[in-house]
Amino acid sequence: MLRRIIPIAVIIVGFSVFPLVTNDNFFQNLTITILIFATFATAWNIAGGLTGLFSLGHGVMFAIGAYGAVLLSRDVGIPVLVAIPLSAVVASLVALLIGLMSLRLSGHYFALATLAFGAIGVVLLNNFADITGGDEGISIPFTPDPWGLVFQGKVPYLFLNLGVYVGTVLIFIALVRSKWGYRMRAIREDETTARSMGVSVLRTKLFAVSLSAFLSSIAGSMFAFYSLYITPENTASVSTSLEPALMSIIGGMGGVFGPLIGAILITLLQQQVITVIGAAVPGLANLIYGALLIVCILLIPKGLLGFLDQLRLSKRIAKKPAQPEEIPEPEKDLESV
Amino acid sequence: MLDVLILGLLAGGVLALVAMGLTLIFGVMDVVNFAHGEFVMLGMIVTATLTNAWGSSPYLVAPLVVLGSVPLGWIIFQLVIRPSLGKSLYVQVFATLGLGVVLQAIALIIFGPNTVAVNDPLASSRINLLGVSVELGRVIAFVVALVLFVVVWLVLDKSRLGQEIRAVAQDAGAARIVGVRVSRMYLIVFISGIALTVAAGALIVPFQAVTPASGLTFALVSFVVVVLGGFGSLMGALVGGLVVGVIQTAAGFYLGNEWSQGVLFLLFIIILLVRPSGLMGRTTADAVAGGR
Repeated sequence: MLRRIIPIAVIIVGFSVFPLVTNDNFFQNLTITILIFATFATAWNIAGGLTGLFSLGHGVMFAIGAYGAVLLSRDVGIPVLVAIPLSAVVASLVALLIGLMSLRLSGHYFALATLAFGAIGVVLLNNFADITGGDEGISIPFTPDPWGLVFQGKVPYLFLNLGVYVGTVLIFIALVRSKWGYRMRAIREDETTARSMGVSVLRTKLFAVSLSAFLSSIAGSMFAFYSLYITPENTASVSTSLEPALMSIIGGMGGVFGPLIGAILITLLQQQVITVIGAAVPGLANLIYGALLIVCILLIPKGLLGFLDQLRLSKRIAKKPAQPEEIPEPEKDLESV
Repeated sequence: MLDVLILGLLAGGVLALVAMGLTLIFGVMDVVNFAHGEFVMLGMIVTATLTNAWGSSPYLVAPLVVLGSVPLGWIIFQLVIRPSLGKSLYVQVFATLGLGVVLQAIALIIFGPNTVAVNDPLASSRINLLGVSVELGRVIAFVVALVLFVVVWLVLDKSRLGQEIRAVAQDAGAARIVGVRVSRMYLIVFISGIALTVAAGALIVPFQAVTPASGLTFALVSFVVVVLGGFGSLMGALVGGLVVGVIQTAAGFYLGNEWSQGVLFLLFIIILLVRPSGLMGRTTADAVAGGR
């Protein structure tokens, strides 16, 4: 357990010291974006990495969080701090419903079904323009109010999102160590065997997607109140749905902190490419991004963290060639929490 | 009513061609190509740009574009597809998704974000088909799509090459034992799948404008067609394409264009729930697990 607390402490201290060292708007913005998407990616990882359900429709959950919190507080008059968990509950109910429909499918079919649900989400948001503002979206008025989660400076956002991220990670760690976590990994490794060992497959999967949706929705709410501008494109679209998956895969789906590493890399990449090359060559950022994805997935399918683990392993093997039976399982990553 | 049916069938024939490449690649190689829509987009945008630049007819440019897609398909096969064959599902899914992102970005860099359209007098002239006035371009696309469909069907069914491809599709290991060069079959199937998809794009562009972002819609529609017809079934792609074409046209006509996509995805989910192996699909392990 201590081994997991140390990185969390490092993360908390690292991100807290950050605003003291730099007053630079750009870096603070970068850090907050990283934290929001690290939360989203960690939430995705509960379904994708832990249970093996490669959802391509998580943008819908993100959008429910973003639109739900904003609409409930603006149109219904519910306080923001109540509206956020309320929309997260709605997101998990929607995930349960979608899950009941799509979780019987496996493999390609599940990925395709979630892609379709994501597309339906975009269609709904665009077509109910009276409520959602259509494809122009909603801009949230900038009236600083701590209880409305709209702050004057960037530092409160940083601490708020740091708190949300650390909370998500703690939930993730607790989950990995729980009965549910073992069931989820059993399903990921071999569904048939898990079923024959008495794991209730559908119930476990439903639990995984609804928890994942709950946390994704909170990430969506955080995004809405930070960016103050939400559209179907930046919340529900296919590219938003892919983002947490990419971050988890590039960082490493096996570990707790893979999604954070992925979020840091991808956000840096996106922002740096924009600042270095500017908008002069539109598409170049995406070109690098897609190429990186292909290279990562083909060369290091276990992500950066998995790759580092493998390097360590091969060193250890090289030291003790006489006892090959002591080679640790490469899949040990999550079990060792 | 009749005009909706005819327009729908015309659109459906082209959709069938769009989906044929996807289903061919899946049926033989067991790879769902998530970059599929981008190849339709590339076929459209390259044909349109060259047609406008040379002041030529899109139907003269199209064969060149399809020919040009062969080396592209070869490069992509060697760089992305071959390394991901036989790997776990998410490697394939995200490798082809990454490929889609790259292709779209390349199109954006080369052709810019603007809409490109072709104004071809031949394609936009109207003819009377069973009392319904339709653009000639749609009829040409439909007829060529059917011809290509029949050609692929004949090659697969009658020729020696087709026999080998079908053997690989049934059991790659057994095919290797009896002397079929499996990786060469994969290469052939992938390149011809891509060429067919690009050809579909070139046939669509005379009556439909294109931007580098158009690919996703085509990808989603072809997934619907292929899931409806049955993954890996050629006949399924044709039947699925015609059905989807009619449904999409009818939904656009009666409910308005903004809902036609929604209806399509709803149909998609209903099929996945009721009969994931599709109308004519062979029953794969995934589909069996889903049908339970």
